Amino acid sequence: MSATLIKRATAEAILRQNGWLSTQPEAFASEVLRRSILLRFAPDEVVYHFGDDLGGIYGLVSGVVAVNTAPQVDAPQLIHMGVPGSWTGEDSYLIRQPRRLELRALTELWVMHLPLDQMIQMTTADPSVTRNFCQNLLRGVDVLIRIIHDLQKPDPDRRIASVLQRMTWSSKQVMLTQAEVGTMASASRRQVNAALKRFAENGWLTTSYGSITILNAEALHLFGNEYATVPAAL
Amino acid sequence: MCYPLNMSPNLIKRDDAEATLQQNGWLFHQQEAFQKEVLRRSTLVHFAPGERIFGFGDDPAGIYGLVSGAVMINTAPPGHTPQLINVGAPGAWAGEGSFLTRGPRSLELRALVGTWTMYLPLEQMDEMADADPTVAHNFGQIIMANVDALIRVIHDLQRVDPDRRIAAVLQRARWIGEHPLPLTQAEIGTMARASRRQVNIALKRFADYGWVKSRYRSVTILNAEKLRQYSTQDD
Repeated sequence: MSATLIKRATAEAILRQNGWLSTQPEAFASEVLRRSILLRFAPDEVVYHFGDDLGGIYGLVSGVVAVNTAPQVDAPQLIHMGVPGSWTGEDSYLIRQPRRLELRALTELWVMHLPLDQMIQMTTADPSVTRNFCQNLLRGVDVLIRIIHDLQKPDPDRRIASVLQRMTWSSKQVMLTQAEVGTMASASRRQVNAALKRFAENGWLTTSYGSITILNAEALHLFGNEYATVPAAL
Repeated sequence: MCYPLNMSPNLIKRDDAEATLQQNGWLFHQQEAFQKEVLRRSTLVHFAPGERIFGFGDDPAGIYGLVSGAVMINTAPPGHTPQLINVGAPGAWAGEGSFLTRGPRSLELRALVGTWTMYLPLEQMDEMADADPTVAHNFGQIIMANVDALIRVIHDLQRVDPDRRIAAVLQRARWIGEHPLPLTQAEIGTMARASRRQVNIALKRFADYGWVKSRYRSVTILNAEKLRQYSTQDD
């Protein structure tokens, strides 16, 4: 497959207009981008592994990236897909410990990489930038809270709908197998298969082998949020 | 390790509270001078069972370190009712988001039993940061400890079998030692995405195996290692 070329100016514009960097002061955003490197990853390539040595942060410019994680003694599992404009990897910077997550390219991926030594240089010049980097981590916490909220829903159909709606943050084309949707929604493949058929009948999505196209994310969102708590007498 | 759960409001010693926080969690990993400065500027605060420590959407304020007792952590995305997701252990700190973003609280913390906390007010954190801007890095590290806890909650909720999710939730509270875990079956069910009936059946089974002792409104964990092994077997 031939690689798509992306211009540096386009990549910077995407990161300036989306996610964490769009909320940061202009001078800080410019400094982050000036010190960053634009990188390309082929489909299936790993950006970094769980347990990898220290490194910097990565901002997603384009493409679809799978986020896998688990507590440190367990095998990482798929929990989320990265969204253009989202950055991750502050663990090394903050606590100088190995990676908590694994990032894997599902399609061709363009990312902006701010190396750890550049982050340290920025912090040495101005210690207050730590707050800017931490603000990104707190955005990540919000995503983890949303994932927990989705996983607490007792009805598997509503968990599956919530996962699919969350996937539309990155693309209407969901690059997940039914087993992967099941992992994210804590549902069996059979449950995913049945839910997808029902959602397709409602006109909310279409399915073809290895791919799901979302047609109505709002309907999935509304359905996912009905009866979101465990009925006491179930 | 076993922690005091129902320490009387009149009996706690400041030295003991400081020692608990210096020996556990985030503060344990900080340099001694920073530890002392945090504790010197902090106030020891008691909360009655059920009392709210801070609420979802509250104005920005300081951080709380859990000294003794147990704290319910309730949260949800904006616009949704906060749900119980975890029970905080002594040594855990919460509330750092206010210092870093000046935004409203995104969690609700509520004392589950009589609970002692150490409270470092936001203005004290700001004074520390004015004197030494690098302390923002130290406070930022609280987020990583909390991220680890959230990743664990997600991992436990991804388990397909409800019995294994229930075992994982109980095992997460192992720090409580042989004190009764003061949670109802409905609360355990919310954390484990299980119905009360499923929790009831699982607790009976775990009690038969000798892993827990179950009474109305409380569970005592007798063998956390067995619960861990069971919860991590393949679904």
